[in-house]
Parts: sequence; C-alpha cells; structure tokens
Amino acid sequence: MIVLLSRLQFAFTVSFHFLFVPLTIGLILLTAIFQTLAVVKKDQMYRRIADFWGELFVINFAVGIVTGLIMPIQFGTNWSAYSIFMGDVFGSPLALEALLAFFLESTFAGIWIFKRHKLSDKFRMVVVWLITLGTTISAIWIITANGFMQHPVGYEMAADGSKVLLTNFAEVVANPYSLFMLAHTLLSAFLLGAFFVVCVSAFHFMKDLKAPNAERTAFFKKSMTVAVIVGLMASILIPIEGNAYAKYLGQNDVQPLKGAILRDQVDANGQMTSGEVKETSKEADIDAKSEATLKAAADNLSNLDRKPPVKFVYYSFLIMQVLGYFFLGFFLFLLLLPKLLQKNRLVQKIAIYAIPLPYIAITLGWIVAEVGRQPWLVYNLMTVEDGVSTVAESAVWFSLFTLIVFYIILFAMDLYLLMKKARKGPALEDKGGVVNES
Amino acid sequence: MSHDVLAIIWFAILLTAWSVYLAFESFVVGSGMLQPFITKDKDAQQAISRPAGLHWDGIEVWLITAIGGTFAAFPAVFAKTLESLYVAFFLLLILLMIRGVTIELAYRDENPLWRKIMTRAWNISSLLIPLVFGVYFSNLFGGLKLGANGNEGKFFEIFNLNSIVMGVLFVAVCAITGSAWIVLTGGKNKDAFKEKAYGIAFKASIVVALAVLYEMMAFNTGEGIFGRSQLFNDAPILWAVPVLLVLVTLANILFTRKKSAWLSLIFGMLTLPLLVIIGYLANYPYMLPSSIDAKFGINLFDAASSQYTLTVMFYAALIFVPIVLVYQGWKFWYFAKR
Repeated sequence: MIVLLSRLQFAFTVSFHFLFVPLTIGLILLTAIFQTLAVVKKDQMYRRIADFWGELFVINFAVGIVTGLIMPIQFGTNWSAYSIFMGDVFGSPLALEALLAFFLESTFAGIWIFKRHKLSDKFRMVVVWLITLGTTISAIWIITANGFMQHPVGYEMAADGSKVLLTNFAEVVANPYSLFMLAHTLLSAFLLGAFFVVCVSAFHFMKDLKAPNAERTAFFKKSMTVAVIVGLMASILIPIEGNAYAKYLGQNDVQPLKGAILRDQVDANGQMTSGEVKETSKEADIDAKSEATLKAAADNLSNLDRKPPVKFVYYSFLIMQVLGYFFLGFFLFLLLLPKLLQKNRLVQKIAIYAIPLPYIAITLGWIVAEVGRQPWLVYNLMTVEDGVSTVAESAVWFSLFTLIVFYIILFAMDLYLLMKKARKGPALEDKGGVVNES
Repeated sequence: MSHDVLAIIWFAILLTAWSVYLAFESFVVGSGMLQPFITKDKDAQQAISRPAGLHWDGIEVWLITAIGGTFAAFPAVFAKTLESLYVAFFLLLILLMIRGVTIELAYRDENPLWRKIMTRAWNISSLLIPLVFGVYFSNLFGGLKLGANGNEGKFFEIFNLNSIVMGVLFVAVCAITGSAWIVLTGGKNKDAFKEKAYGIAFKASIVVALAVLYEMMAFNTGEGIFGRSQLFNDAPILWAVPVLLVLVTLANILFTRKKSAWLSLIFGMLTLPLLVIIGYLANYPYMLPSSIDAKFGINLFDAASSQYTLTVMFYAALIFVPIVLVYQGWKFWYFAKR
C-alpha cells in the first residue's frame, strides 16, 4: 500500500507540476523574442506584446515554482531508499539545477514580475533572455537526472552492492537517452507555448469580428505571426527527433521492452511477439560487464510479476503521435492561410477549444517514458518497490490528501487568473484601462 | 584532497548555504508577518509586499541549494532526515508554497476580496515558516529518536518546550530584521513605518535575548548538546561562537533601541546563522544525531558521497556560488535606490 500511495503521490505531484513547466518554458521564449523585436524594430507595440504574454507567463511561473519546490523533497520523504542508493549520482544534477538554473531564473524573474514597467527595453530584453536561459538550463539538469534512471551510464556498483557510485560525470551529462529526452521536452514546450499564443489570439480575433479594433488586430497579428513560425519549426522537428528517439530507446542495450511496446510487438503478458532482434547501438562494444547486467536484467524481468501495462503505454504513444501530426497540420495551415484564423469563426472556435491538446500530448509522452519502464525505478538496477521510504501509511495518506486539496485550490486560482487575463487582453489605447499596475 | 577533507569542506559549504538562506529569509518572512501591524493603508501595505516579492524567490533557492547539496554530498543524511520528519516537512512545504504563490499573485488581480485573501495568507504563512524552522532545528540538534529500526519518534513529539522556545526565537529574529527591512525599503512611506517598526523590533530583541539565554542553558546541561559535544570539549576555542551569539543578541537590543535600521538589520541577520552553526558544530561529526544512542546517528564521514562526486561538486560550487553571489548582490544594490 505504501508503494502504491507513494507512486500515486509522485505521479500526481509531478504531472501537476508539469502542467506549468512547458508553458513557462514556451512562453518565456516567445516573450524574449517579442522583447527583442521591440529593441530591434524600435516598435513599442512589441514591448506591450511582451508585457501581455509575459504577464501570462508570470501567473503560470508562480504556480510552477511552488509546485516544483516539493519535487526534490519527495525523494527524501517518500523515496529514501532510492535516495540512499542513488544519491552519489542523482544528487549532483539536482544540486547543479539549483546552482546554475534556479538562481538565475528566480533572481531575474523577480525583476520581471515586480519591476519590468520601470525598465528600458534593452534592460528588459537582457532580463527575459536570462530567465529563458535559466529555464532551459533547469530542463537540462532535471532531464539528466531522469535520463540516468532510464538508462544508467557513467557509474559503478559499490563493492557491497548497496549503492551506485558516480565514475564519469561527463558520461552522465552526455547520456544519449537524456539528450533525446531533452530535445523532445524542449521542442514540445516551445510548441505548447506557440499553440497557446495562437489560440488566445484566436479568442481576440473573434472579439474583433464583433467589435473591430485596428489596434487589437495588429497586436494579435504580430503575436500570431511569431508564434506560428516557432510552432511550425517545433512541430516539424518533433516527429523527426521523436522517430530517432524511439529507434534509439528500442535498442537491446537501452530499453528493448519499451521499444517493442511502441512498435506494438508485445502481447498483454509482456512477451515480445516479434522474433527479430533489433540492432544494438552503433558503439556496440558492449563489454562483458554490461552484457552480464543485460542478461541479469532479462532474468530479473522474467521473474518479476509486474510488467508495464502494455496497452496503456502503447495507446498513450499512439495518441501522442496523432496529436503531433495534428499540430504540424495546424501550424502549416495557419502559415498558408493566416487570414482564416482572423476571419473565420469556426477556425477560431476550433483553436480555442484545442488549447488542452498539447497538454494532453505532453502528459501522454511522460506516461510512455515513466510507465513504460515499469517495474524499474532505475532501469535494470532498482525496482520501484525497493525505493520507497519506511514511513507510516497514515503519514502518506495525510500528505497525499493535503496535496490534492491544496493543488485543486492552486489550479482553480491559476485558471481563474489566467483566463481572466487572457480574455481581457492588452490595454488598448483607444479604450483606456490598465492591464496591471506593477 | 582526501575524502575526509572533502566531506568537511562540504559540511562547511552546506552550513554556508543554510546561513545565507536563514539570514536573508528572516527579513522576507519578517516583513510578511509584520505587514498588517505596520500599516492598515492598502497602498502602504503594497509598498511592503513589493520588495519582498522582488527578492523572495532568489532567496528561497538558497534553501533548495542547502537541501539539494545535502542530497548530493550526504545522501543518507538527506534521505533519513526527510523520512524521519515526514509530516513536519510536508507542513513546511505547504507553508512555503502558500507564501510563494500568494506573494506572486496577490496583485495580479484587482478584485479586493482576492487581494485580501492572498495578503492574509501571505501574512500567516510568513509567521508560521520561521516557527516551523525553529522547531525543526531544535529537534535536529537535540537528536531524533533514531534507533535500530529507524525513526521511533511520533509527529507530535517534535513539539516540546525547547523546540517551541526555539520557534519563538526564530519568529522574533525575523521580526527584528523584518522591521529594519520594511523601514529601509519603505521609500516615501519610510517615516510612517518607522515608529511602529522600531517599537516591534525592540520588543522582539528582548524576546530573542531571553530565548537565546534559555536555549544556551538548555544546551549546557549534561544531556544538552554542549554537554555531549565532542568538538566543544576538544577545542574550547569554539566557545567563542556562543559568546559571539550572546554579543550579537545584545547588539540587537542596542541597535533596535537606538533605531538604527542598517545595524539592526545586519546584526539581526547574523543571529540565526550563528545559532545554526553552533547546533551543527556541537553535534559534529553527526549531521543527524540520535537521541537514543549516538551510534544510531548518521555522521558526515559515513554519509558522504564518493570522493569523485564530492570533487566534481566542489569545483562546481567553487565556480558558481561566487557568480550567484555577485548577481544577487547586484540586484540588491541596483534596486535599493529604485
């Protein structure tokens, strides 16, 4: 029960946290681009565009930051056996994330949130790019940590087998698994940010149909143009990169079972149905040690009664792919026929109701990544069951229940503010009104 | 460098991170909890929120660094501390989350009810955060009930006279630095804030002095942390640190009485780091002491990560900690005059 509750709590807190992360990463990049255009083109409308999207970023960032705080703590509270086993390798990326990324983004986000209206365009541009740099570096380190859990490299077992020891830090950082994941995560965050900007713009074009306003039209046309370019680039790159990623992870020395699930070559009992053995990686000089671990792992796996829920992972992957192609079509369509989003009510409606889609795609992607490697907590090294803390069941019930209640409140607050601001739109000069007074 | 030397260096780095965090957090939460007592005027209240909002997040990362650094350098200490104080940590987390989200979002909506609820939640969480930290450190230094089968303590046992006095001490220190910070960042409201702020700060400094006196006496019994301290016995020169703490406490009284904002801020900020340094030094080499039997505690040499990990992380800290200090220092300096 402790294992189940702890898994539920981690899944819940991390999924909730990751509703905010990709929009943070995506919106701050777009805000940085808008603010740069304000400097380069000396066009004050771009400053206001950066303000509007940068304000939506702020609301989202606030919830992202506080729900992120709980994540590293949970490794100790709920997964203490894991933390002791893995700390030598896993603690470093987390500490480096704080040192290299969190300090940067939070120090400068404070300036953006509370002082941006008092700063010059160039100063603002530097601040926003530093936040963008911080969020990106943060993604690098957390995915380095996760990549090790998916595909451990650069380590050795302690002599007594009680923990893993770091032997090559560069190898951990250059872990191909992490690099594939990182590219996938960043690209999907850029896509989500762009999609969000386009869909909120659609809402304002719809307003424009009822009460035309030249300034508003120009404001959202400019927003949309940049977002469509960013979104199209991301949605072209994602399937290309994703395809290489899926091929890579299906190799025998990476995660063959997950790879087979994604190719629909596994039956419900977790047995691979296809006899063909996928080629091993290019650097196929598997030494005796890793061959032994591989064999041990295969034996382990066949002895374990818990397998990944095959169909759940497969359909998550399938739906994610379908959505990926939808996004590609969506951005391509808008590149060719941007007028339709500005004039056609049906297209506008579709865009507005489609806002949840990239969130769904991203969550499904994480389900593939995390559920697809079950029952492993650290691939081939530690099962989820072995990683859990020795705490009272009542304590975990308490934390899980408290967090669910608290997160529902947070979600309601975020949705209320985000929708209110997004609907209200920027302050238009001929109408007066102030977006915010900070 | 040998493994032991690296372990000691990491112990020192983590003490530094905790010290920076507590010193700076004290005035952020201090200004949060005092805000409604300093002024009832809505605009003036906003003038107190803004400087806190500008800086809180960058400061809270020092806490994440202290905890993340413990994970990297002493995984067992990280894991066993959090596991043993499970409920307490979730309460602290919820409070920190409430504080963060309310300060960021309070002024993002014009609705007066929204602002009122957000501001109240900010005030209350700012009061409770130092209280919980005080209770936490008191329990940590006194030793957890770690036995052969792990933690044997119950959640409610973390509340006892020593820990509650420590909690009050933390809150009172935050009231000193918080008042000074409110005056220093008050801008045009400065004069309106002064009278109440200095009044609160002076009273708080008396509370701090009494609480420090009590804790020092409790530490100094046979069972107390000085009584069983290996390091304080071996190196009597370390008694200079508690003496320094007492002097700082007296300086707090003096400077709050003299209404010197800068000096009461600086000496107030020194108080909590000194207290925490004393606690860690007295327990040395244990980072997670056991109150049942010393052998069940976790000492820093056994818990330390491998020599390789400690070395890599040492160079990372050597390069990046100064960079962080520079840009955070710049931010305080730059916005101090704006």
